[in-house]
Amino acid sequence: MLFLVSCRQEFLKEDSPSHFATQKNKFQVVKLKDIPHVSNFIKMKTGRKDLKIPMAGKSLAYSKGALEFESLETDFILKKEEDEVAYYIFGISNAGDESTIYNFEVKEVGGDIERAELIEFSSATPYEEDYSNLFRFSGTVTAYNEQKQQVSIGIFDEGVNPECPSTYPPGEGGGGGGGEMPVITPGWPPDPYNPIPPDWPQWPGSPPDSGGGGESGGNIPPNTAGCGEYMLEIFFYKNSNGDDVGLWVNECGHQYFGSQPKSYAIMTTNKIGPHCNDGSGIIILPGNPKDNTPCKKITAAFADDRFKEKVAAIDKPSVFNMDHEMGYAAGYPINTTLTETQYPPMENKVGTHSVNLPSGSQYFGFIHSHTNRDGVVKMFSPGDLHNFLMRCVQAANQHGNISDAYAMVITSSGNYMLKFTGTNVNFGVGTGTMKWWNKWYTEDYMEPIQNNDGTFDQNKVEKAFLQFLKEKVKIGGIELYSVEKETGTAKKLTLDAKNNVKSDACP
Amino acid sequence: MLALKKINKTNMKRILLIIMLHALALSCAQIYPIYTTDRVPLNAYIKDINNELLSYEGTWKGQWDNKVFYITFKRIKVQKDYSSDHIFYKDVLVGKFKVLTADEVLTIYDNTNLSDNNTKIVGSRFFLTPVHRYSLIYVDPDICSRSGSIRINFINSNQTQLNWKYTDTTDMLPSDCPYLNTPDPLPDPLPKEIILTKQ
Repeated sequence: MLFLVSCRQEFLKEDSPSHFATQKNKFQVVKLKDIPHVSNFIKMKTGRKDLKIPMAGKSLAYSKGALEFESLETDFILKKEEDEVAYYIFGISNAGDESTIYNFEVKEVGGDIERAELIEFSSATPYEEDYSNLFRFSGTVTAYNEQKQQVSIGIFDEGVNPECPSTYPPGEGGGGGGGEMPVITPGWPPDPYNPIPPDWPQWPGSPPDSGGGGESGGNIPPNTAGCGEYMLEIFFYKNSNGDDVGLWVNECGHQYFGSQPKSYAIMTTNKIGPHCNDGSGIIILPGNPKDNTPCKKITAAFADDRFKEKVAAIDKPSVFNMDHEMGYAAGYPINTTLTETQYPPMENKVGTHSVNLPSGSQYFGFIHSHTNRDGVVKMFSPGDLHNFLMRCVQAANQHGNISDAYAMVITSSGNYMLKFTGTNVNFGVGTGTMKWWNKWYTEDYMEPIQNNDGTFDQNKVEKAFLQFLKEKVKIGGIELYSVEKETGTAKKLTLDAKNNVKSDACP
Repeated sequence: MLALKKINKTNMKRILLIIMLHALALSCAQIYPIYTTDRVPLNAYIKDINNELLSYEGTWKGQWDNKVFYITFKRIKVQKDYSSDHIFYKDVLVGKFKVLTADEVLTIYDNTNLSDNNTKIVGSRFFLTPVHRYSLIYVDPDICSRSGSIRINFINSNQTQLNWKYTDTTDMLPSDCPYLNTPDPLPDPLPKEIILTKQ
């Protein structure tokens, strides 16, 4: 699957047979484009056009090389609704350390944003490999506003904030501080957010989850703590590895969101948070999900026979020796009963040697040739780049995920892909931009490296294009990959400090 | 009166100092030959030291496809940059052209009124093999930034005839191009390969 089909699905449907589903609680994984009021609120608060937020707390105080601003992860945003209240939770992967996790949580009441806070989960002990100590969290959870001021703090001991009156279980606990060992009653849990907590005495000594496993570098699921294997309670979607992603629950009611081998977020049942009994109780883990990195997406593309078929149709000498380009657009199956990516051929514009994308807003990618004709640069042109940014990235942002967007050029000297990892799609690329891009590209980057006989050395072409991106286009998040013809193995090409091309193979 | 003289004297000294500093700065700007294609230092000047570009200056005429083509070349010094803090200077030819019907009554394309710094054709560099050629870039913002490379070389010893070769490099058109979704071909003002005669 080149992209995840329609990520927006209700996590818990009201008519779900699940005993975890209730009328008043539900989850969604939402896309940034679907919550403009949230992103606008964040931008308004931070005074920035991007989704970078000022960091505070331990991140600034202790971490070496910590940045003052960090980007919110926008590929995986969770929304939790409770009646009129909704929480939007963002991860922040580049901050934090072995005992600190940062999230960003926005609270909405009746459709109006009430607050947006940086939340620091500072554990008294380093997080375990599976983050299972979040279920019995000891440490502080601090909320900071956009001025980096602390606005609230919760101090937890074994999952309990003694300062907060317990809301669990309703009618029990005598109205005193929370944290008393609950009485397990038959037929639990009545509500996933007032569930029966884990069998606490078993936790510390519990063996790791033998069923975990998973990919290296990912977050393995929390251990079972003697509560049986995690079962997929609600299927959400299949990721690019073919794994089922959704809500996994064990017999004690511990919940995580992710796949069997990887957890993306921990759902704490006792609302670990900076505000008493007010918050999502969800912690998005750092480093997840990784299914939509450019490398993963390119790998997934080359695992798709239909994509490979289109590449193979172009990647041959007879096509390179044509007078004009050949190509296929990749479109979301919108306004159709079809469900797969559509690959209409790109038409050649009469009076040119090039192909163009069909009209329509669904084209998130294209695969095309650059020929062996004299003067043709075997690399993306400014026109390719313009269409990638102004058509493909916009289409992906509108109908899918930005990480779906790609451009591919196939030449006799090598194949390349463009991917975009930024979050701001307002590129400010106007009508006049192409004039300057074309002028600079040819005059200042490609002609100077052309050999006296008119040929090009491909290594110089790669470097010149990267310099063009860096010095003239200056749009963060555009990434160039070289793709091996036979295997589809990709390498990310960048410039080092001395402007030499650096090649990093995809893992 | 004495005070005024003193002021004038002081001002004169300042002016002299400024002139000297300016001259010093100019003399520090490194000059590079017109064949330079490598990156040059800040404020460097890629100069047509031997006035090779002057041979191309003037108006040239050619005929093709029942049309008449006039182009006027002029050498100018342009400011360029790799980044905002790394500018340099370069001598280039710029070209302004017009295309007329065969009887030269009707004008099909005309950009001869553009300023020297805003021409659609700007010189780039010399290529040396198989023949000594000068290369110019064509970018036409009026035709969805249609672009191409032009190579010109003299074909007679008294330099009154030029061989003109134009290679179209127009690639994917910008999404706002009005020609994109019409069956009409993208306009193509320039001849592919013709002989131009100096006027």
